[in-house]
Amino acid sequence: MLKTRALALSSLSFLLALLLLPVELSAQEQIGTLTENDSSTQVETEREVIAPPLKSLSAATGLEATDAPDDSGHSVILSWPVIEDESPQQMYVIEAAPDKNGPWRKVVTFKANTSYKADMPQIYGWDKDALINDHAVIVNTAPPTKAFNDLRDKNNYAKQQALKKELESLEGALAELDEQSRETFKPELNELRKQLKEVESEAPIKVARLEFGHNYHFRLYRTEGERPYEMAYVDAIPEGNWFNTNKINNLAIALILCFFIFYYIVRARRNPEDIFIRRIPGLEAVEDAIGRATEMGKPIFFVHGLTDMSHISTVAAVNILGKITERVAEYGTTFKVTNRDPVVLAVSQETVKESYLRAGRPDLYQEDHVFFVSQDQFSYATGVEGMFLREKPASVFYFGYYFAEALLLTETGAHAGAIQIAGTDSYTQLPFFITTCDYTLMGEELYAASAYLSRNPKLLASLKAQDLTKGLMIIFILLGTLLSTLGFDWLVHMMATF
Amino acid sequence: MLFFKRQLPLAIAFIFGLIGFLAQYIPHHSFEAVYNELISWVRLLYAFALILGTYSLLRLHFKRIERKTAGYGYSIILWIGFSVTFAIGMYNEGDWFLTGQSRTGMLMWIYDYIFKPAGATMFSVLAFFIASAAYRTFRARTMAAGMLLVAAIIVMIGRIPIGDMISEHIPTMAMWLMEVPNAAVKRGIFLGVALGVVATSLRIIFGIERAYLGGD
Repeated sequence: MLKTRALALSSLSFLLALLLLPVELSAQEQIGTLTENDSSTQVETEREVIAPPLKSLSAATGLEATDAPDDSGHSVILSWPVIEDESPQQMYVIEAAPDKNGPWRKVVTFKANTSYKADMPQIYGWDKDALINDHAVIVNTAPPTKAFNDLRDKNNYAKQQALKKELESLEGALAELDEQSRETFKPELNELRKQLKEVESEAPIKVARLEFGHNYHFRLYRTEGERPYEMAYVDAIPEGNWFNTNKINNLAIALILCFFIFYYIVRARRNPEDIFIRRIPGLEAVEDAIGRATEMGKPIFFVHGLTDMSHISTVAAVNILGKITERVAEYGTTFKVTNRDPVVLAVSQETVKESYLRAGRPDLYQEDHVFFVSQDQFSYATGVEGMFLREKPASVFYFGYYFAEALLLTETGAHAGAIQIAGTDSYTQLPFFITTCDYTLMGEELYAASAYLSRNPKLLASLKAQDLTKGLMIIFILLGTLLSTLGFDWLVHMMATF
Repeated sequence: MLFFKRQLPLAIAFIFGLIGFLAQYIPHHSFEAVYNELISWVRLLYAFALILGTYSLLRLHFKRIERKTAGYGYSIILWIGFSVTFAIGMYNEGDWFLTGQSRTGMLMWIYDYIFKPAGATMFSVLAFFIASAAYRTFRARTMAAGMLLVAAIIVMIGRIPIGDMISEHIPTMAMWLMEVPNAAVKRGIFLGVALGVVATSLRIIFGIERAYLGGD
């Protein structure tokens, strides 16, 4: 029961990260320099006293602040027409405050000849000629909501810095001393470390983001060296959006793929023989590899890649593992599965166990044959290589995502005399697998392997849908290239990602 | 029982897979909060899974020592290494395990002077493995291997100063090989992989793919 629950939870964990990209768009890249730890109320107050507006640089007219579209509710957009006397030597500065009376905090600075509406096609469209006449900036860094909190952070920061400095100087001094003298100062050193940890945990220094539903005030001004400036004021309330319109194209493709999958599943149900899938030599060789190991009386190894269950390549590898285990169970050959990730280990153990059960040979399942090696990349590689050299496997399967350890593993496997079949979507490691393995499944073949091995019509139907969508995308690519060459960019713009 | 073995995992996969799918298109802070909450569950899950992993590793090597199977000496080294590192980590320079791990002292010494050099040694062995693998591949027994050999020679020579000294065209050819045929193939692989990822995800979300549960 517990194992089943663990399995359910593990399936949950990888599905969470299945199609996800970071939710928060990094607007910081578009908006230039953000100030981080200058949130001192005192400093801001001083600035207001010493810097009265003197009209030597004119203020921005037509300044507007609006809620940023397609976001979670933590940013606003400030826009204003380009001012005639702007120059690249000047800087635009945006300050924000929770109240029109302050305290103000600098949140964005950028050169006066940068950051235009034309740089944000996802918001303003593609008419660059018209949009180059307006500046636009996304602001998502919040001003201090309470001056007290800000000051407390500042004090804490100062305290942290002082403790760090003291600690560093003591450590430096102790390094010069002999072991016995160092022992004498050890309690003092530990005490300092403890204090630092306490202060750090008390109030970590962090930059807050704009909070949805709050009315924020912004002021905009230009600077040129030390020259004073004229300010323009505006306010806005950031709100969250329930749909990201920039991803309509992405959603459309996903829905088309869904439609094709269900269409082919219905077709496969009516006529299972109707689904033709091209031959994949690497998967045809799985049977031979298992047979070889059985004849030689040597073990078979299944080596997982380095990624965890949140990567689909690992999920694909686990699916293949199930199919291979069923075949292995029919032959009764020793089968070992190496794991680098503990969650993959738990899922693999359950998958192998179930597969033995399905094959009618639950007695052959040995929990110790599906084991954890190490979480460290090269420790994992070394551990598996050692087993290859000691146990001389007849066949080795590599499925999943690999990094630099790929060649170490496969070369050792080749030297051990094993027939090796690999499947990966790690394009940097593909040449190494092709070089050292007998068969290699490249990219999408890894994801097709489970369906191919099972011959389940429903799974094969999804492969047909995948192929059809790929064909459609190739047509889009060719059409887009042709149209763009002829000067029509609408298709390229339609398929753009943000 | 079948409910816990089949229906429940499939239902969980569907519900949370769908949440993950929708999170791609719904940026709203309410949905973002749900997503962040789920991500923190995943972190917790991983923390517990690590205990399972450690247990599996130690049990496996204990049995090897117990049965005195071939190479059980390595298992003894693993047990000694684990025990010593674990004890030093727990001792934590006298602060014990209730405070944050010390960044100096014996544990860091093990990391800096045993663990890191061992890892670096393995990484450096890679160069020799590349040479032996390249030798096997470049024996030009087929047309494809011959083309690979020629392309590899052009790229290798084109990327070192002597290439430019031999002919100014060699670096240009090397660059062309990398930026045109290589990039084209790479993008083709990416396209296939991306669709494979989406299709596999949808198969799991809709319960079509059940192999990870030990099903069809």
